[in-house]
Amino acid sequence: MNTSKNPLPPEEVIPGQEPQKQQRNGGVEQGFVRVSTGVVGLDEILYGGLIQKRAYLLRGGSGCGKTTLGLHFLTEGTAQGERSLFITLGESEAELRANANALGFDLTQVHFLDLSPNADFFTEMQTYDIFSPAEVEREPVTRQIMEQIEHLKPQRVLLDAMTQFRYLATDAFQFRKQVLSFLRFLVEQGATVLYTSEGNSSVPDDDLQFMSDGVIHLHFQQEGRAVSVSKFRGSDFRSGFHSMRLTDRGMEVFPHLLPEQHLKQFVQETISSGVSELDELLHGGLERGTISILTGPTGVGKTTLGLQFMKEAAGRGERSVVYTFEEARETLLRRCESLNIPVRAMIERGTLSVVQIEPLHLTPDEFARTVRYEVEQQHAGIIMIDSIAGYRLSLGGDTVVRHLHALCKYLQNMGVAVLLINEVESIVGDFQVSDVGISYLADNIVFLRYLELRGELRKVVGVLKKRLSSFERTLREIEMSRYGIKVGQPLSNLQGILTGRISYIDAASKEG
Amino acid sequence: MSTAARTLLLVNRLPRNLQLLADFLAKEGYPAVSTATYEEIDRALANPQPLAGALVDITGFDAEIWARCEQLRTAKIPFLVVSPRQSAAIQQASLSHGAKGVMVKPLVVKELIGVIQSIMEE
Repeated sequence: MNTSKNPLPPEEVIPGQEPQKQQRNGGVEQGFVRVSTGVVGLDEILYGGLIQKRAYLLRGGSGCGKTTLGLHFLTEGTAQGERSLFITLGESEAELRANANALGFDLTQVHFLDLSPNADFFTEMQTYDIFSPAEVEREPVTRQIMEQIEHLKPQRVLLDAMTQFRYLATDAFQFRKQVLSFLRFLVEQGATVLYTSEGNSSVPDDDLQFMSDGVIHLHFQQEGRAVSVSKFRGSDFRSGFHSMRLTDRGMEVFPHLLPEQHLKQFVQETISSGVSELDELLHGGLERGTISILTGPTGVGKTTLGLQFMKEAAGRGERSVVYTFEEARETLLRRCESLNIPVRAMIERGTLSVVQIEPLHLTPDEFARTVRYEVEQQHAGIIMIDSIAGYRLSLGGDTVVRHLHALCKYLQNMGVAVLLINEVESIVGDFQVSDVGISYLADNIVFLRYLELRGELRKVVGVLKKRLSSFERTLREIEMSRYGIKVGQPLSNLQGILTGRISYIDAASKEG
Repeated sequence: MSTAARTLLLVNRLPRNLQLLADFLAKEGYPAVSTATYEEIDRALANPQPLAGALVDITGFDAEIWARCEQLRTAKIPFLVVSPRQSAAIQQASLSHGAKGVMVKPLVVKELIGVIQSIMEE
């Protein structure tokens, strides 16, 4: 069983963060006791968990994880010393215990009421058609449930699946009345109830949604698994589709990042690059809590430039993280070492982490969770995403730019210096900041360009935008070699660099 | 009416159906003789124990069942035919072979007891 791959504390206890209780509890009446679902991310979406002694519908198709979430819910209860009851009308107790065991759930303290049909039912001896199931089964099923509930007085009940009860009612009105009455009985006995429904077009479950105090949907879409909440009486919740993963350790939920819920007090200071000429260009360096786009054509040295800031930060004992979406981790490390950036030593000392993100392996929500872990648990001060295009391709989906926006704003609020590596397609020629359309995000834009001068290919660096301070308006030549990064003096005798039509400014023109 | 005089003959292919019907009728004070084959029906009819009525579920039986219905009529045992579906042909055959009425499955418990009481009173 698993609570989270990168366990994060509940949001209100993130160190250094100002809790926003009003916002988190938006609309919540005072005095409600919350119970954890057993899945950290889902509790976050529900702003602390389910409200005690209420009944919630858990709906989703076959294989969406309804039972798995139910197992988290029950075992979380037993871990808290509560009595948990699993009423099963589908899978048998033996099957459920075996499957749960494989996922690492400890069900020794979970009570079962197995109302699933046994093998005899399918033989002629048990088959009947003289009366409807409602006439035959309802009474004994109801009696067994009532006896068990009154005997056990469970604090948590999972009923899997409520859909079966539909066949025990003679009509829709009877079903509705019976379910309402049944849920009321459970709640009056002190239980928080989670009941499942498959809910598809052939057997709609709108009535169950209407009757519940909350509805949790589990989805299995083309983009991956997701969880959403459409109703939660007495509480606000985080809307939208949130990534969900079913692993061999259970369910993990990765809520959307809401940047406004993460605010950390931090000192507004400038991070030096360690290269005095580059710092002069930036009038000191890059500020904490800002988003910087390092842009330029392929191979010009954008990543290396970003790592230069990290190298300097490492010298102060500060931790940085590079998420590489395109370049292999080993290649990046080797390349940096050849440019006098001691990445392996930095990694050993814990001041750097280089994480290679495999294409289509994570969703944007999952990636955000990984970054949150680095920031909130490992106290990373500089985060580099290499590159924006790689992020978009690897994490996929139509809303990827919105996710990147949210992630950057979150990092900004947490006082992290964000470095976004942006590759432009044009090697030379007309200048372009970004092909992705996210330059509006940037507080700082630093660009690198190739220029051809007397038949020799050289590189220049310049600053296009800096929100929190002024900056040098001229360009400087930049060289990257085994001795490290070397930035030259301002190129005051050249013009047309950004257009690709470079020419010398003669002394007379300068004076003019 | 004595208990023996209230005994009903049940004809049904499925053991679970017979069990459910017998349990339900016993609760209502009607003992039942359960039969699932022609041989069992013949034995029950040959038994000197008087039968107050019969409930014949034709599902799973062939046309020979109508001969047994005729036997019930001859013995002046009122009976109901239970049909798997609403069908004019089944209804016509049932009535022409002496059935007091035709009920379509699934039966509604309350309705069934009402019908049984009414044919017993006749």
